[in-house]
Amino acid sequence: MRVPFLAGPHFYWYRFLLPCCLVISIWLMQPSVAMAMTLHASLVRADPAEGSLLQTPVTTLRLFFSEPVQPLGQTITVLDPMGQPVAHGALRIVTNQVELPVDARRPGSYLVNWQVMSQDSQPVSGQYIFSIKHAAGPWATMAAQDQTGGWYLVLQALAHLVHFVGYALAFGVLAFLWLVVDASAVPASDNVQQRLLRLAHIGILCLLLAEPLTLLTQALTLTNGQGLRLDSIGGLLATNFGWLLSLRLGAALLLWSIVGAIQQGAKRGIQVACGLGLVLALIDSIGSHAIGASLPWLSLLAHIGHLVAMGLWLGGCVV
Amino acid sequence: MRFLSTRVRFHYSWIIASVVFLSLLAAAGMRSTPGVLLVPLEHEFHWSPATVSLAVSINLVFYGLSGPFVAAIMERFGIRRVMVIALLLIAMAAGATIYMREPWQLDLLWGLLVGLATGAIASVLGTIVANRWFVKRRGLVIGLFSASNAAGQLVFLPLLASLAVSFGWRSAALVTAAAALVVVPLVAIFMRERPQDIGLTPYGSDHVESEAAAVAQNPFKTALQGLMLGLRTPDFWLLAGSFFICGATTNGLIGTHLIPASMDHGIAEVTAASMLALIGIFDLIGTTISGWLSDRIDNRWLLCWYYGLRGCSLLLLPYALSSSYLSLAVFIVFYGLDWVATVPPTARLATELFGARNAGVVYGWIFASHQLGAASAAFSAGLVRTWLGSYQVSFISAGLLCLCASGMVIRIGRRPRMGQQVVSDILVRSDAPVVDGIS
Repeated sequence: MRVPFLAGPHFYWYRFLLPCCLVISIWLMQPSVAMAMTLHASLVRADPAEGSLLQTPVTTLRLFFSEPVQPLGQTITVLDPMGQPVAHGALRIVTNQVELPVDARRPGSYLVNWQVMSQDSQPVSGQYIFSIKHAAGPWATMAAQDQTGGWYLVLQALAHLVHFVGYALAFGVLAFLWLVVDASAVPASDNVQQRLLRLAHIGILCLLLAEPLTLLTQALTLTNGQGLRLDSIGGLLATNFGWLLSLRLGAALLLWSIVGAIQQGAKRGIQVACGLGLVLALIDSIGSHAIGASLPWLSLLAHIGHLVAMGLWLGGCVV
Repeated sequence: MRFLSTRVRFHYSWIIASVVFLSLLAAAGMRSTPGVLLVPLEHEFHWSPATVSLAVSINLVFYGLSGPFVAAIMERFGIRRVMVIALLLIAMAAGATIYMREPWQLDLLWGLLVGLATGAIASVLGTIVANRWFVKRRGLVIGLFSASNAAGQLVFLPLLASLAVSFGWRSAALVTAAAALVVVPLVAIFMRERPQDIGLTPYGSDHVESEAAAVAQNPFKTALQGLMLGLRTPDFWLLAGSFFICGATTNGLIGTHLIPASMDHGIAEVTAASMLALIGIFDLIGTTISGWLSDRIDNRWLLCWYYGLRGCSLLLLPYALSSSYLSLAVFIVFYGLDWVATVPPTARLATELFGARNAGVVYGWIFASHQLGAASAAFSAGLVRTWLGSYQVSFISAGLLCLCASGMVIRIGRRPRMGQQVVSDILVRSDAPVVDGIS
């Protein structure tokens, strides 16, 4: 769709600049496993330590993370050389330290599986072994695993991309309708408005599709590629991640209602929808790395501003 | 009767409304009786909860699915006759339960017979009566009829529960039967089919309408024709789909699972039951106000707001349950106010879209989708609770579904779908869309 004031020679510069910006954006979005790992919680230290050989029984397992964490599903499972769980008490989490009472006295190798929720609602998991007296048992030769492989990060990036495209198409287009089309001296025809609302509908569809994709990716991340497990999905939904996911879905559905109201002639609906865009930016920021910064409110504000600017810019470009 | 109607200061429509209100009130109480009987029956006959629950499920299914057929039967044989037979059937079935010994007898009496009979004295009856007898205040009357549902449970449940505790479950069953018998003479004496039967016009209408004589038509064929008419219309799908979500998020989820969910969060059973009763009180207020509003405001907007607010309150519920009582109070107020508040606007929209004559049957199917939603949610929330050990996912999903319903109802078209008459009697003025903006 051609908007009159963008029909001049400057418009053709955009045709050149836009592909350049897209190429640079895609290059910048290439996930680096090492960089991504530092953004979420990571296991800093464990007691008993990874690969350690102890001579005395262990009564408490302690994991120290790089940032405060939340429980996720069973959080920690410790299996003895016979494959039996040895935890015998309630899990205790104090900021970035997780404690679990265990009864590890049988000689052999023990497998520790852990999964926690980062501050930015990113689930992280891993496993390692320690041994009592000597290394023996089914996992004696198992290598430690921490975090996830690159494929899952690609999937996560894809889910985020779909979400951000949806944000830009839905809210960016509506903001364009409000700030440019409605404010211009030339009255917009119904046809123009209907086309823009159709774009907004595509944006809403992207917002709705992004959430199941995110859930699927995170669930696969937790199982380390061993297929989908219902308890992993259930565990994820019961955490902060599930809450933020439901809020994002709620915002998308609410936007769908508001666009329906706009189609029925509610002019103020556009402003309300733009307000909802700010709320969704806040929700996104709560689930981002900004929440773990030293000045969270400033970081949140910066993240919101960043997201809104992206939505306005990309939405305007698409129009 | 004409004499009466000229001497008294109020329109005879209000007497009809009072009789129907009382009948709906009694029927709501009768429907709530199995809840009181569940545990005593398990104790006396050593039946499992699943055995007793099967009868309740049968009851819910027949209660919901009988709606469209009951509407057609009422058009064919008359409202009064159907109401009297239904009340006698309830009295007989409830009375006979005191002699039962086997689970199949419970399924037959409380499941099939009481389910069918209470389905005849339900929301569909209220819509038909309001459409026939009221032009002005139609929404308010539908609101009052809907509110009687909550009031019936509030009045009967404590009474039946105390009777069951003091004198045994048989006394509760007998009181239910007696309540049905008390309403029978009121219906037989005061109930009339249409205003023109007593030389009146509907309340708020100045037009003397031609008498609409019922035509001998197969009620089942009429009900199925109504379904076909609806299925061809996108608005029917939007209305029935949103009402499915309404049933799922009220009777199905909160009505069935709020008490166990509260107990999961350490709230005592009595406190949880009181919360449900409080929701019922706010429902009474909300539904009556909703009926009044539905006479004045575009019903699609009302529904959009109701579902939106309900969705937000359900999204809040998991956090309200694990936080302070203040959050729970906020949930109870917001959720209670629009518990059944969706009924008057939905019934009005069905009338506006399909015409007053078709509304009974078409609304019957829409109401059936409400009950199917309730049954699905009651079952699936239990399943999710077993699987995940918490109701959080169910509550959040229900909240999201409500937001989805909010988007559905705002897309319902303004053009009434009146091309085809389902109930084949004479077209009268009350078939015309009520709201001026809809044409």
